[in-house]
Amino acid sequence: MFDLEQNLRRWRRGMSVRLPLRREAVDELESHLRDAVEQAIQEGSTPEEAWRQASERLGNLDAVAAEYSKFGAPSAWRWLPARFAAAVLAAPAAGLAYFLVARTAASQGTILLNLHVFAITVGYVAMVVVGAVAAWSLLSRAWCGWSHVETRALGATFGTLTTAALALTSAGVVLGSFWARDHLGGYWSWDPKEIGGAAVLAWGALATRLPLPGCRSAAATSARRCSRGSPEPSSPRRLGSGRLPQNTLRSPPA
Amino acid sequence: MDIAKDLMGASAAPLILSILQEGESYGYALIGRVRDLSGGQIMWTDGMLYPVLHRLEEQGLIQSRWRTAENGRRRKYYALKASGRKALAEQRAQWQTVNLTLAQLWGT
Repeated sequence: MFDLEQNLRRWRRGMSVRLPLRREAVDELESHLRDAVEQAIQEGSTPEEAWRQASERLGNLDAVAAEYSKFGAPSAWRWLPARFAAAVLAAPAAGLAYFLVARTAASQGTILLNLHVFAITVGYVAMVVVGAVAAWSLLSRAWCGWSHVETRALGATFGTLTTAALALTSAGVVLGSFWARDHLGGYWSWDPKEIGGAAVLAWGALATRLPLPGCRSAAATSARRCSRGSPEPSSPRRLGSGRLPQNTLRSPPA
Repeated sequence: MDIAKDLMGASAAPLILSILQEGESYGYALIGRVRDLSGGQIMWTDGMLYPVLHRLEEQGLIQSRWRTAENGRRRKYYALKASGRKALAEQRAQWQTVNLTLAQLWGT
């Protein structure tokens, strides 16, 4: 028994792998297929015939995907793990900020110490989130397929998060050292917490120099290396210039 | 009669813009309309229309929105924007110039 929904699902999987981060485009193409199938069935085709005709007329999946790839890469923020990472980072940051503002208002701890705690904690969490995104990517790569678009999204997410982690941790370490000068008698004393902070800074500094594709925010230090993996500039084409690619449109046999 | 690929490609944007000038429409309907108007001579590979729509939207000539049609299914509808109207007027003048020139040469 022919199952249209099953065929649509299989088609959708194939298209989604070819058009990652373009869910809306896949939705639109699916909506088209449903219209075409419905129309053919109304005109008397069997569901199976209707499906075969509709999917044939839609064209080769790779050719359609190649057309979309001529546009710039979709923004990394459309990548679900990137949004998830931002949320995971923002939630504890907001909670901690609320807690520390309350503490400061109640004159518990100096402003310097509370700012230090905020910057260090959020910086560390950001670094952990980088690791979580990396781990998720490895799993996804192993089981769900992967594409160059996702590689770029991962690179951009990695660059943004690592830069944020590095900036916050640096600020935290500096604030902490000034607090320590006043309360512990010296800027730096190589205790385990301080060594930990220094290690995170060293790793962050090293990581922003890794040659990853699409790492925009880390580009300050490694612009040259990143450029190799940056999205191809999509040349804006003028309307009516007749530059539609080969196989774009076909005319029927006479 | 096979219409050359270049010509098919060049005419896609003005055809889409002209149909949208009549009102909002969606991909499947656009393809059908062009096929009917051309007497079946202009048949687009269905999947290739959508990247063209995407490009026109990126250029700010048309805008899209998802809407639930009468049959309960969601479709992405496209509408012409003011800049699209302007672009269409320009293209129309260009096409008419080409058409007029050829017509004189061919004596029709």
